[in-house]
Amino acid sequence: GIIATMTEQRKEYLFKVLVIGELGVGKTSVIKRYVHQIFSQHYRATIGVDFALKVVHWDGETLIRLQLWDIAGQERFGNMTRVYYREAVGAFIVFDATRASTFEAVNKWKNDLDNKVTLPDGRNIPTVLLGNKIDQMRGGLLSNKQQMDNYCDEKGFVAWFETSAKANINIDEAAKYLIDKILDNERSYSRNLPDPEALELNKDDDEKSGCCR
Amino acid sequence: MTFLSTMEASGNDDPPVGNSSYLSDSDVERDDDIPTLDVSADEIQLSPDSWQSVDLGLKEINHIRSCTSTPTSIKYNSTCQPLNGVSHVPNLTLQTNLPIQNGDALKLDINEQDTIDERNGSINPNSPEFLDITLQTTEVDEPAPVVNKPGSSLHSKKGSITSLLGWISSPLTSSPQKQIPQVVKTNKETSSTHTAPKSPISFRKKRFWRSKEPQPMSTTALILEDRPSNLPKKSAEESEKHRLQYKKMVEIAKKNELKDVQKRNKLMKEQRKQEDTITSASSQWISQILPNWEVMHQNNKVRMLWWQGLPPNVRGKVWQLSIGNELNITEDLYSIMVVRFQEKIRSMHETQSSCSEDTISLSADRESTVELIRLDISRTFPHLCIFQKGGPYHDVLHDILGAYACYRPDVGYVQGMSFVAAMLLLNMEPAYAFITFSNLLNKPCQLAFFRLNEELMKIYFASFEVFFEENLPRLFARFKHNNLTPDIYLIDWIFTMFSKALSLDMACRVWDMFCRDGEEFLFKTAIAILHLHEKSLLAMEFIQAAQFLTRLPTDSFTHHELFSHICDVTMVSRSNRRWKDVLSLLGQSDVTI
Repeated sequence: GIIATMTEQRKEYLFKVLVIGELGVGKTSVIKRYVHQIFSQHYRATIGVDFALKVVHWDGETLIRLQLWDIAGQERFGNMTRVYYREAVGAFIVFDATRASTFEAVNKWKNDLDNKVTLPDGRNIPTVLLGNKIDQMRGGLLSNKQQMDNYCDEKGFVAWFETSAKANINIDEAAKYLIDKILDNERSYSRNLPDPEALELNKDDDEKSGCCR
Repeated sequence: MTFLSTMEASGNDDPPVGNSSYLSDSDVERDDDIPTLDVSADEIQLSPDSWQSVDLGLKEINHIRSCTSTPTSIKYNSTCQPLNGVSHVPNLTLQTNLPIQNGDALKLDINEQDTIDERNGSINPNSPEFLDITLQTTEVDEPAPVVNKPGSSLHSKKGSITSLLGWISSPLTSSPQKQIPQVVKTNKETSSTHTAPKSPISFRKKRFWRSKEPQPMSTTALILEDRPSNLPKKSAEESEKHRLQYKKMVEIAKKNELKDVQKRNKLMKEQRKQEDTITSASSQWISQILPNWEVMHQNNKVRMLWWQGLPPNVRGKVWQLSIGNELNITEDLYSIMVVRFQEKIRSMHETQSSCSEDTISLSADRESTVELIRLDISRTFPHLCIFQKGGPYHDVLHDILGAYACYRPDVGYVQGMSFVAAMLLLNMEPAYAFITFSNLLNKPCQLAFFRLNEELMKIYFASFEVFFEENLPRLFARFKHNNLTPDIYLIDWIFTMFSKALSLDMACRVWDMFCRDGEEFLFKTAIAILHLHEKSLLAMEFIQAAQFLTRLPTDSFTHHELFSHICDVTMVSRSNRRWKDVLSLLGQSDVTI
């Protein structure tokens, strides 16, 4: 799912990123904060899937179009929403730092993700763990940072962040971190073996690029 | 109630007819604590032809919030600002284009409802106040020409107003020091410029509506006056010039007013028409259709009426009857299930507190249903602010969803249910909402989706695609090319039956038709929505289209546009098959449709 287009010096990427986790942990809020810099108490429950697009001017030469797939949190939607995982190159798994059960479920979401989607070379897609709603936390779960680091190593998360969509804490940082990892993969990948699928996708994008040939 | 003016057309010996009994003392007698607005005849000026303006000469109205009308009364709600922070009943100016029919009574009724400040329960002096004003007039039998000379009082208007009175119909008990609105004389102020209409008075409704030229209101803002006496007089030439200039100004002002009046007339006419339609439809539903439901509901005329949208006061009942109660659920069963659910919550809390240190061990399964319902309720129609914590419908929505999870543990709670239950709750009593909810979820389409039966859902999506392609081949091809599959946008639409995607009003009308035509209508609506936006969707990339469809801009089309597009959707496939056939064929095997 990566489309890279050379335009003179500029490189343009399209990344599909999943945002998953238990119901009501604030997935939609995190996305709204990141994309629109807003927060509201009044988001409606997501049924199925919602979308957001964020255009990131990464550096002078790189433009990233980030497709965020905000997937309904109820576990029972199961396989039905898993088709949405296809071709994702990165993911956030979100839990509510004030609700232990949502952290408990993280493992389940991670396994599910790894089973359903991998990078073209077979590795797992880079995934960042977000402990959201820390503005409502008084000490507690995330206080033991070493323990969280170990947990992430063990479960294969590239990083974890304490976030608050409400207070705008660490959302941009987490996104930057994930994009960086995706770019690393993308660069190493394009160096090593050309991706036939990506090339094919480029063909579809003819009208827009029109330079590589 | 003081009643200052009772007049009868001079020279008319016939006793007043029609609603003149309105004016008997006993009728206008009000409780002593009801403040009184006295309006004497010469304080109010009514232009005689198809009366237009009651100018109480008062200045504080900001804007007219709304107006409702029936043939015999008018009401204006006005937002008024308190003066100098002092809560008082502001002055107001009323205008109406309603015709007065012979014998009609119009009520001028000042009804003040203070906005209560929620935080401290006190009257908020800075909040807008709402006033209803009703003007009551009664006429004598024959419309008669009226001479409306400058300075003339109502007494001189033959056959126009026999009485005029106003009162504050809701006691101002909350703040007794409030001033009663004072009606200020305006007649004298405007008299010098008021142009006397030449046409005879006409209160006949028909004639009023036929009249192509609505009458402008008086041009009170423009007054041509001589120079003060201490200044030299104008020359004849100058005087004439000023007179002509003045005339021109008045004409322009009149023209503009005419336009305004025409616009208002049109609006009011539409509103009246709509109100009339609703009123007559509602009486038909109540008196003829609902009592004979079994015989009537398939009737063609009834189906036509149904298509117009159900009047809000019968909507719940019609939904209930059409969805039915195949499951034979009783109100008692609902109560039992609510109790069971509440016990479940209690026992859960007990378990939780007994091992409070170790909440992590509380299995997600245990918690799920109760917790999911709790989380979703506050995220159901959040803009309405009635299902949220502390809102009036919070607990009852909670009860219905919980009761259902107890009643059907095999289905439990599934996201989307909260919207469906809320829609029902907005239209019927809790127990009936539960009964209807359970039966609705037992319909084939809802059962497939809410039981998350993927195979069946895929069949529904595939059937939808058959008709999507049939109706909108270009858009269908575009979606295919972009890999924009129906599961991406249909899940939300079908699970919530459009209650999340469309405005509440529009969703209700879609539900009306779902009740008449069944599941097919939901898919028809989906195709109509795609059709409405076909042009923009054709130009969109995957992500824009997906974003657009999962967050439809609700103000982008009107009821009329949506429903005329729904009308245009063909629900017959290329191979001449209907929805049900396509669905069952796709369900059977890999037959090509």
